[in-house]
Amino acid sequence: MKQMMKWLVLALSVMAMAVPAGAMEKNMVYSSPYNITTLDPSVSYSTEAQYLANIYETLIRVNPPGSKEMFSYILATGFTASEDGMEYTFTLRKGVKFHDGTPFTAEAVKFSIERTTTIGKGAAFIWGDLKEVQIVDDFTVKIILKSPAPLPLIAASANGSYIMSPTVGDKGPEWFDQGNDAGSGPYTLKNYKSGESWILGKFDDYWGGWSGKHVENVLVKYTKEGLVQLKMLQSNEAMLAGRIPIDSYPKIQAAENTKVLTGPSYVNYMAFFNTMRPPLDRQKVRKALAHAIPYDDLIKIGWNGAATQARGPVPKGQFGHSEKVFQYEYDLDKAKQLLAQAGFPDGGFKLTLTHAAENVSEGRIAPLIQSAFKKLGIEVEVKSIVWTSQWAKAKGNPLEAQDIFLLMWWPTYADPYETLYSLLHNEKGKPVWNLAYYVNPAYDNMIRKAYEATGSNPEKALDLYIQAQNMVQKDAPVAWLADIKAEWPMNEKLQGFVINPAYPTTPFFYDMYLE
Amino acid sequence: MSLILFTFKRLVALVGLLLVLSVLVFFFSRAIPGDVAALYVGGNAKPEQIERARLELGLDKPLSTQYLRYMGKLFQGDMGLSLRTHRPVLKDLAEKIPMSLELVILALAIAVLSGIPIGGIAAIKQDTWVDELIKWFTAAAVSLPIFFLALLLQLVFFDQLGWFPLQGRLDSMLEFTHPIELVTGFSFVDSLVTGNYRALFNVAWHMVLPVAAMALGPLGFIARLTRSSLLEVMKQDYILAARASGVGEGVLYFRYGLRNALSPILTVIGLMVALLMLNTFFVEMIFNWPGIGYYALISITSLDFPALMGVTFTIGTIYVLANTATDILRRMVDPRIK
Repeated sequence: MKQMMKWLVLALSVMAMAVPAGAMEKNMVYSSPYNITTLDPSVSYSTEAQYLANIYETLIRVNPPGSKEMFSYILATGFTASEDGMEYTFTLRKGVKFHDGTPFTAEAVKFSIERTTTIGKGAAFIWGDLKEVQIVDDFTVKIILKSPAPLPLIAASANGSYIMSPTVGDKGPEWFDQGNDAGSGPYTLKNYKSGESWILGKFDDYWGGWSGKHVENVLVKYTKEGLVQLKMLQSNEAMLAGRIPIDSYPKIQAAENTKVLTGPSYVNYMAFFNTMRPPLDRQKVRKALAHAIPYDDLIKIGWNGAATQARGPVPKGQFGHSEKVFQYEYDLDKAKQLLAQAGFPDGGFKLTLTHAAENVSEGRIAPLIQSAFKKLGIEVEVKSIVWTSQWAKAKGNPLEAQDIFLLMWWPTYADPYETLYSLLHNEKGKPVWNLAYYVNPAYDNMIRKAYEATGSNPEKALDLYIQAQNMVQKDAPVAWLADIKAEWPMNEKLQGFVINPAYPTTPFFYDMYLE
Repeated sequence: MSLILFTFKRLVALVGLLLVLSVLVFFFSRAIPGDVAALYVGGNAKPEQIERARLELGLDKPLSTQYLRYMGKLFQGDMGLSLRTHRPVLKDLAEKIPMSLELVILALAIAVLSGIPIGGIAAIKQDTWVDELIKWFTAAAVSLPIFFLALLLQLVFFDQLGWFPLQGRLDSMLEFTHPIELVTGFSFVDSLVTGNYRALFNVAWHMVLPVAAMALGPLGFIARLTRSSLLEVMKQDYILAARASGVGEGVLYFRYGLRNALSPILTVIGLMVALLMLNTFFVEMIFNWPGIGYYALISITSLDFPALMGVTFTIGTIYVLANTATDILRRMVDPRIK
């Protein structure tokens, strides 16, 4: 019996060591909580963007803030805009092949944009101002607009602007969802097992070549549970993890084999005040609350310090953000003063605050807001409910909805218009994202003008955006809480990862290598 | 003949049960506040898109109409599209069910095949230290919550000892070199028929902890039941008579006693299948096992009601079939039940 146990233990240890160290130099495992909703590049508008961005390419790509140039040229090598901002001409890269061997030409650009707009799902709305795509010659394409729009940013969008092989023809999402792809990117999709794992495998004929240092194959292991991701990272099984509980970050930072990479992001958090219902229908009460939020504490507790206080709706680093936008600072005296002016010298009212139960940071900051408002004599009831329910309730009748709504937001593409429009424009009684139920026609006009000027006159556009944001700040329908930093827990060996806020949660594996 | 009639009756009852279940799940899952159309679109959905999805999914119709439409399609073998994966629910289920059944069948086999002898030994050695030891062990096995047990096993056998893998079906290395091709969905069968022996052993290796976590509770339960049921039977007159006529103790317990004690044990096996299916929810999440429990849990949190309906039908069917099968077995073991 004892002998048998000994053999068993020996056998166990041998099998446990079956993965030799160093065999994964060009291959890596990514433990990811991000599932695939659809693999159709025209329809995709969810977390799978981070895989698709490695399989498909766009004409151009927005560079991270602080870069010399605003754009990187991917499938296009350059573009020019007409004076009125209505026509853009792109010159295309030669010698590019799709994964099926088809050469990349202007036809593919026309096909892809038309396919995306015809299907009209996902992020197709970004092409709302498109009139037509004209093929000038094999490697020149002209995009003509109905009304002025920041087309370069649209063409570089993280969703809805992928170029695919025209051999797709009339195949629908079902064809893609079986695990097929039609991209030109450095990786092709292999071994797709929905809800379990898939491989982003090296595409040998990639135009960028493979002579440099690159990760060649990435096994994406779908891992919903944060603790399992953490263990996979700690045990060197995974080189990269998607979303680990933030309490573990100090431990990951301190460990010898792991680190946390931090960079800019366009993700921000906000608290909507219900402007339709007393007492938050009074501007002064809202202003008082905006002054009563302890922003620094929120950042410390909610994001372990990996954030900065927001300055208006447009996050730091994105076009449209400016130091000229007014910022509410934590100032309890001022808050009390404003509240007294509004007729509530000792507070004395109750508010309900809702937040998404699955959002850890919101769960941490809600009690801070609650205790801060208590100092004004305002009682806050915090309701932690699943996101889908939180949102559904807010979209009903504003008079019966919450008083304060916490939201995490990120833009679809690097232009500020979507954020400013979605969060604050008049939704005419059918709220979707404007959960302050804020109405200001002058604001609506001004952001539209700014949007139209972006392509041809960015200075004027920026000026209009600043004016519009200050208009909002005066009314304080929303307290802008924090612009958060992107954080990626990874193995020390993983190098080359560049965090690019224009492509949130997208790891570009081609830039990475293992050391 | 009566067996066929009996089976037929049970299958008719199954249809009735599934109908009731379908009504409950459909209306409950839709009673939770949540905008299904917006979930389907995903991301920072635009109002027009949400409206379009609402029409496309038929969500603008009254709930009763939606239910009838769903059931109509179901009878044509169409379970609709998952809101989360945008794939046919039937296809998702076909891939996920075998992976869970593998765990359930193995755990059940272990629980039964070792639970009965352990219970038998405890009965024979009644009131000795062996019995006492088994009592402690089985009490612990029955009362430990499954998620706690699973985490404990992970902590000891992965974190501390490093004997067994942490998660998944296959080592990451093998996913590159020896991936399992999808044939039936059963990892064992698929790796066997494709001659992928490295994957076969590796899968077995990955199964040890989740199966152990799932088997322990039912094992304890069956052992305890076997002990008490056997002791009950052993008090009967015919056992006394047999003992008096010189039949050996071993034969007495295992041939005459156990056979008569088996009937209540077989009844709980049906229940155990239901319990094991439920336990896949916890075990699969903790061990990142891509089966139906994992799928169901994510479907619940994302209000994916077509997927939830599919899961309900599946688990309901498995439960009723397992109960029917054990009833048939009981009739074979114990002729009195007829």
